[in-house]
Amino acid sequence: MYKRSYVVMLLLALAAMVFSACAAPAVPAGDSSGSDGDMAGDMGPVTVRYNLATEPPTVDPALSTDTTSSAVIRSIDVGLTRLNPEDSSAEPSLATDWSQSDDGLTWTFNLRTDIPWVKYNADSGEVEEVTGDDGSVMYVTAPQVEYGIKRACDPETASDYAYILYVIDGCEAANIGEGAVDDIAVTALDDATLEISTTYAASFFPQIVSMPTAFPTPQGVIEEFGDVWTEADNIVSNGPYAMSEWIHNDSMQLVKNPFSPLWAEDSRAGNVDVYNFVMIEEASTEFAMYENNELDDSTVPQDQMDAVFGDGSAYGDEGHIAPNNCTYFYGFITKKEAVSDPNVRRALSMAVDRVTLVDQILKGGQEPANSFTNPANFGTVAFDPEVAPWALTEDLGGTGYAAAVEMGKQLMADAGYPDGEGLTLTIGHNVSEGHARIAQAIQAMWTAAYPAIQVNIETQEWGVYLDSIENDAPMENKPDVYRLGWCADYPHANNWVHEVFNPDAGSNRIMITPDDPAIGDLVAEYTQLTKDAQTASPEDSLAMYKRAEQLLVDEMAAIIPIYFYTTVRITKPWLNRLYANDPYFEYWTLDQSGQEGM
Amino acid sequence: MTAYIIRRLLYAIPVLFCIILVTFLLARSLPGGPFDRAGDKTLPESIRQNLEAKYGLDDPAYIQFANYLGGIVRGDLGPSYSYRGRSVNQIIKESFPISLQLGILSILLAVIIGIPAGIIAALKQNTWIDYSSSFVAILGVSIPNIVLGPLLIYVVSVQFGWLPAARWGANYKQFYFGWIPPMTKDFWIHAILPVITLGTAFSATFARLTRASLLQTIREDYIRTARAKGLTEYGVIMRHAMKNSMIPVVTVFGPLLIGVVTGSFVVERIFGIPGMGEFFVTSITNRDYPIVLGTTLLYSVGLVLANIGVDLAYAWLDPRIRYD
Repeated sequence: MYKRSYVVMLLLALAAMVFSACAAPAVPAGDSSGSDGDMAGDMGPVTVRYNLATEPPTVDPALSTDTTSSAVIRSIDVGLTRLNPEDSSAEPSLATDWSQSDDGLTWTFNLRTDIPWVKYNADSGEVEEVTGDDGSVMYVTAPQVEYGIKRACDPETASDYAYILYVIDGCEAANIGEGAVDDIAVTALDDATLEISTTYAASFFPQIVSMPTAFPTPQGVIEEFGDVWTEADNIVSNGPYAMSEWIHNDSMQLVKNPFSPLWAEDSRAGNVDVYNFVMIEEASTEFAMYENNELDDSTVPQDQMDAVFGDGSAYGDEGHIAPNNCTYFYGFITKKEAVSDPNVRRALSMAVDRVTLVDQILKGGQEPANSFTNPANFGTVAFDPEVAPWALTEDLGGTGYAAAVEMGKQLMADAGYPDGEGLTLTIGHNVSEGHARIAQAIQAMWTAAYPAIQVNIETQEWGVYLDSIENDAPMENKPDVYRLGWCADYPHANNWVHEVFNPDAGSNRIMITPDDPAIGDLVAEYTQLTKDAQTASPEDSLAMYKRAEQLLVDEMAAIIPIYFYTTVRITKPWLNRLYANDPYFEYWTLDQSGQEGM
Repeated sequence: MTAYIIRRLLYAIPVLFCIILVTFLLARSLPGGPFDRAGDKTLPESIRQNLEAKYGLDDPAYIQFANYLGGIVRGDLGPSYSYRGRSVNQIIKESFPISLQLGILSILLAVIIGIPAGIIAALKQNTWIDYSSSFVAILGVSIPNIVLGPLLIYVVSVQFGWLPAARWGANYKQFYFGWIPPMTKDFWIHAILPVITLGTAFSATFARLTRASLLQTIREDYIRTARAKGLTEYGVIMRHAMKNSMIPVVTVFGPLLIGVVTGSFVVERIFGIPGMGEFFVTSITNRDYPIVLGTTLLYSVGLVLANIGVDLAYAWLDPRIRYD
């Protein structure tokens, strides 16, 4: 009996397999798993095969926080403004123009009303305009922007990035449950006019509204489908592309939205009809797919840097290095005894040989950093020899490393640690091969400059690590020096010196306080300066940001800026793409004859 | 027999309860919570509170646990914290079948190669066949997936361009009955390399076990009796020796099968296969408690069932074993 049922089960399973082999399954339009053959045929749609590297955690604009989600959202949705890929300035998008009231607190945006909501129809394989009950096309209008912003501020939505919108009057109160969502100062005066009041005269507000958190969202669809409104079957959008398929953790397909006015109006627009995204996390696998012509573009794994960028590279000029709006830095927990003296901190910062680190360890064309704010932001003082000149080479007007170390030795001796004698400190970083290499190099540099210093390195799992450097974490658990990176949410110095380190506003893991016996006055100046710069005119704020950086990296020496990130990519010769902070998929062009010829 | 199975299933309930409780407590005892940060950035206290309220993390732990158990009874494993808008049920439904397919194919390959190799090695004990089969088996066990996978990709895909370098040739929107993939060419060409990578290590294990066990069995008295009766060598081995010598193999087979079909993190990652392996690992880093619990629960249920299956197989292999 037992045996027979076993045989029956086996037969059933076999039958199922045979059945499945016979029935030709309907392959969804988005299936891009075919590595070869898919591209064959007579010049079908212009298709780019690109690796997103990870599953986008969301494509709901209000919930997005990471670069992958943002890359997809910016391709399928538009905001009031968008950032220019060259200089990161805010340029018109949904809003054609905007003005600021005399007191600087109220912004009025004039909107175009000819961008339709669209949806991909899987049956017809076409992107179609969404129509209302009366059959008329539905366009993106000011009330939907108002809804999008209010929804992001609503505590029920639980948006991670709602705090970016706290600059809008009433958003913070609503978000922390002390005010009503209806009282948030965003008002659609009519379909084409939106008025927003801010809590202070923020000159960078047009850049803030370029972030997905402030995008218009389709209220009806969100209310109908709830959390799953972003699935390919449900989503409606309004950007240059529309999502036609999303296979979670595997692939996503975007197809051109012919109704987007961008294609006709923007001279930078590219020619790509379809993006077949995959989600391969392992960089070496991604690179192998690139080599096997399964992808048109890839990151370059660390161990392939020399092969791609070395002299006589087999890859010709396929390798590309472009700046990325992030800064890698070490922060001092200034309340820890070992690093409580600003002279010690400056001496340590001076003894970091940034050029060697970049050339010998990182090899990705990164730029040695003398400031926290990355060069791609308004208000940056990167490479300005009046800010931490000891971090810059002589070519850039700095002192060069040898002179910096001499200065450091003097400072170290003045602080009572000649040659580092008697100084023991710990560098903390989260587990990662790359961070470990950097920490070991810096440990070696410090030991070379100050032979008697004792430097330990501690590594922790990411979550545990972040927990241990929180301000309320026990002092004994904290390292003296911690590593982190910061990437811009919007390209303005305020997002750096104010939102990260201002003791009243930022996370301030460096724990600077105005009652600090050594640097109290400087902390007070820094706190005031970064706050005042928010409302100063753009011209005036430049000098303020410069002074703030001088305080942060030199006089208080609370952080060690190490390097500015780069994006390192390899791209097939037939693809012409941008290497800005966001991909700007709508501006890519592909030469199909080159791709098909492979 | 039926009574035995029912009894075993009932015993499993307290076991599973303990596993859930311990996992629940362990996950929450890790420093850091799911909503402390977005990427490198710390989230303000107010934002974290909103998120915790949305997911019920502001309730006392015992209420959270009770809610979770209630969910399990209803078949609801809760929402994912790190993938907004996706439920753990959905994530398992999408990723588990892929790990299952990869696992079944790998185990099949392992059995097809490993068991005959073990038999031949045992029958030709201390000949060059035995030595070379042992050598290959030790090699198979010793080369880790993390080396073999990239090596295969480099040679077969990059150098010769014979097969795609990565990915799985079918997805959850195409599966029959929720888990059977369409047997297309696309499916097979994507399956070859990961199945070889995962399968060879297991085939080596099976070969070693089969050889050792069979060597012991063919020295038993009843085998001598069978030979004395004048049975052919083939008949002796296949009908009498094989069945009994399979007991150690079956013993490791159950847990191994469950380990493989619930996802191999390394192979899935190397080949970019969207299976469940990744979720076991990343859910812990993300402090995505519902996924940690959901994957652990699935694994535990699988293990309990596999062990029952193994015990039933004993009775079939060895008539002396009875479960009445």
